[in-house]
Amino acid sequence: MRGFAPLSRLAAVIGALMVIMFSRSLSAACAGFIAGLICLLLNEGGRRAIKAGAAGLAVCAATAIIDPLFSHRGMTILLFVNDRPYTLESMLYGLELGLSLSGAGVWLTVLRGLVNEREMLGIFGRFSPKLAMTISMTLGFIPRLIRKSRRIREAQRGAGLFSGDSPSGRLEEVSAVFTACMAWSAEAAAGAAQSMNARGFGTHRVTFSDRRTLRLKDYLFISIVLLLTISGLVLSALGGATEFFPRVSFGRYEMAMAAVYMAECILPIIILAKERLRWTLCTARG
Amino acid sequence: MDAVYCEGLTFKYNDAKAPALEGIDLKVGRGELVLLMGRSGCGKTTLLKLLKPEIAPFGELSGSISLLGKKAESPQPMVGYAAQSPEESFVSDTVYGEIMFAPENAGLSAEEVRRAAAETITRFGLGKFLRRKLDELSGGEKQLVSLCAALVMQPEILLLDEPFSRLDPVTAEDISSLILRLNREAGTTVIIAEHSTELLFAECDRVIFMENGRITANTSPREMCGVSAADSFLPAAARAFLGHEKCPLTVREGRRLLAEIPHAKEVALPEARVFGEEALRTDGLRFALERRGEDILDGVDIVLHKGEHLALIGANGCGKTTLLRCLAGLTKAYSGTVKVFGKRMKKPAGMVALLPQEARDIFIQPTVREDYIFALKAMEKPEKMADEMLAKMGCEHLADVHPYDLSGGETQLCTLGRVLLCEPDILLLDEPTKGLDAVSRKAFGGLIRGLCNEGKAVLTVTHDLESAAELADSCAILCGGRVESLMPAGEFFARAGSLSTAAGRISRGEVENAYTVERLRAAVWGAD
Repeated sequence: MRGFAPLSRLAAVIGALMVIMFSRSLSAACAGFIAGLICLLLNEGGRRAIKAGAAGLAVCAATAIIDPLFSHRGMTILLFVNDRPYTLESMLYGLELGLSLSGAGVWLTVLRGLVNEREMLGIFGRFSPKLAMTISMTLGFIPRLIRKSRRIREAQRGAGLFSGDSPSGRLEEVSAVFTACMAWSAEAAAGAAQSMNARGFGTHRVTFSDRRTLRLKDYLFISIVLLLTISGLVLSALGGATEFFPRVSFGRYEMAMAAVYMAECILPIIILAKERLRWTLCTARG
Repeated sequence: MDAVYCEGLTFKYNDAKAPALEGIDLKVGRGELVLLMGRSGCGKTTLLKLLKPEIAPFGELSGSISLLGKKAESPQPMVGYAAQSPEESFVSDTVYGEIMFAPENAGLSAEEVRRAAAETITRFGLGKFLRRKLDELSGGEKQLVSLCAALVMQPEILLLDEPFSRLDPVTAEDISSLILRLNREAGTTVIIAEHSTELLFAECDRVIFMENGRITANTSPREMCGVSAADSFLPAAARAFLGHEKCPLTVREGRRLLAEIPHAKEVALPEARVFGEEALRTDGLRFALERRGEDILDGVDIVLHKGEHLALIGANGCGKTTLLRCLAGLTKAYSGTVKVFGKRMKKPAGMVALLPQEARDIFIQPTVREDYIFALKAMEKPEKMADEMLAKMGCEHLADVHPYDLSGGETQLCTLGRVLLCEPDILLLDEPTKGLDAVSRKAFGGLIRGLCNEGKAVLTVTHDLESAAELADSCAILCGGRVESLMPAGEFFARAGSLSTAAGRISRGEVENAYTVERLRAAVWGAD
């Protein structure tokens, strides 16, 4: 989806996430989870998709098994645990919960592959350049802090300190390194502030200079995603959610909502599949 | 119109007793290349910061500063400033973000911002690592990014604070040619504060020598050779022929002069010292970051004796620091052995100590004395050793100073003292002379020599050829993960080709074994 602006890519994932999280529908959760896995497969390859799928299924199994242990509602009793009913309805409710959670996880993984840090900053920078700059500074500071803490620890050990492996010695080492890191952070912050001042920070408004403008296809894509998301959520509110208790039954508009949702999920799948096909058939040989 | 004009400039930091700058009268013409020299703490950085009003330090200021004909006031986009440590001045996470910072904060339109960044990126060849994270860059690349971040707004005056102090000689040469190009081709006025004078001294229009906050000499490079206080700061060629009427400034000029004047054809090599007990021996040391990764150390064999000072010379990234980390027990080699006094080393346990490259990393307490006492307590040693060690290092006056407020030379001495508190038999030094001025380098060298005389074994890794030639007993090259040419220092430098010292390059073909300034002077002046 690199041909689309980062905002379009973000919109596609946010749309899918909105429906999966708010619909409380078994069919929508299932569709969302599978669609997310297909996107992951197309964008990042089979290994990543299998890993995410396996992790998702483990979560689903866990929630499906655990939920009936705490919730005993439902008519279809499968067995008794500690003299309390273990029901099919509660199990399916747990499964829906697991599918929603795993689906959200899978779509967030898809998002990480579709929009990188810099593009994300570009999106938010449009609305708040200062926030984008703060995030960028934080992202730059974290690895420096980690590296500094490693260097301070090694410097101490190299000078004969903290050579023992006792827990109290370790604790003393961690505390000493932490103190030194804090002192360094204050020094680094002063250095960064000086460097910012030297380069004109605070003298003018921060300009947002990202060159990615939205094109017609982006506007079109975002409009469709927006329309489908709103439709899905409206249908969900009107009766798209699955009724689990006392017996499992599909909501009045659940099938319609699932169809709308699948259409929304299929959009990125089509675009990713087309790109993958192009890479396989044409570009890689060119 | 002058680029910089200061009259009667005096500046005192808020909490200081004496002024950092006193009675500075300075005039720098447009397009000039000016070098500021002097010991650490003489006021070079303070002066540079005052010339960039946005970062001027707080304190009492008297006198006047004009920049490009106008009173110096913030903001001053026509003045670019690159700090001593690029890493500490970075504000973004990627190269692109760093370059865009100044234009994005200059009130330009988005189109102008992108154009300014694109021009700088194209002009200075940053394209290939534009999207890379700053913490993934090498030292030279970081320095280049820092320089470009200062240049992106196309300043008329560029202020550079010790741009070469953290670079290896090859990278330093690249950056110095870039600075020279900026000055010569773009007409940028450049003022550089720097200890290392080998690179740009001869190219400068003027050299300013500072002592205790005052300008004591402000003259052409050639006339600076006549200023006795600046002797030890001059490039090797000038120091070698100091006192001669035609004082050369470069190796080329030095060679020409040497060919013209009478001199001895050979200086006797120093007698190779004979050492006794073996302190450290590595046998086929191999290290890689990943199982299938490339070997950083590819079978290192070293022998270091008691009382010996071995210097390992190598370029950036050749594995010098990794080797020291292996020897100090901070990381493990996947193959090979390290023997300390004949025994396989599992943990160094105080016998081996490492002076880190970033010396400040060692301090974790608010004053030097408190830090020493903290270390002694942690090692269960008597606290009185703190003051004894401070006295031994000649740093009693620094006992109550915050370690971050020490100058480069002071930091190095105090760090050495801190490392010696564990009373090691083997001392590993990682680039100990990096960023030190000539006087501090000499003092540090004296201390190391003293430690060797006490029987300690010292292993230094460095790319400072001059210091290695002056201080080491033995030398070797670390290249491709292996140690090559391990031999007595005299023989090593007498036979050196591309790794010759400046004195060695001047004397090549004319004087045998004159690989240090002192030896070359002996050949020239001894011949009279």
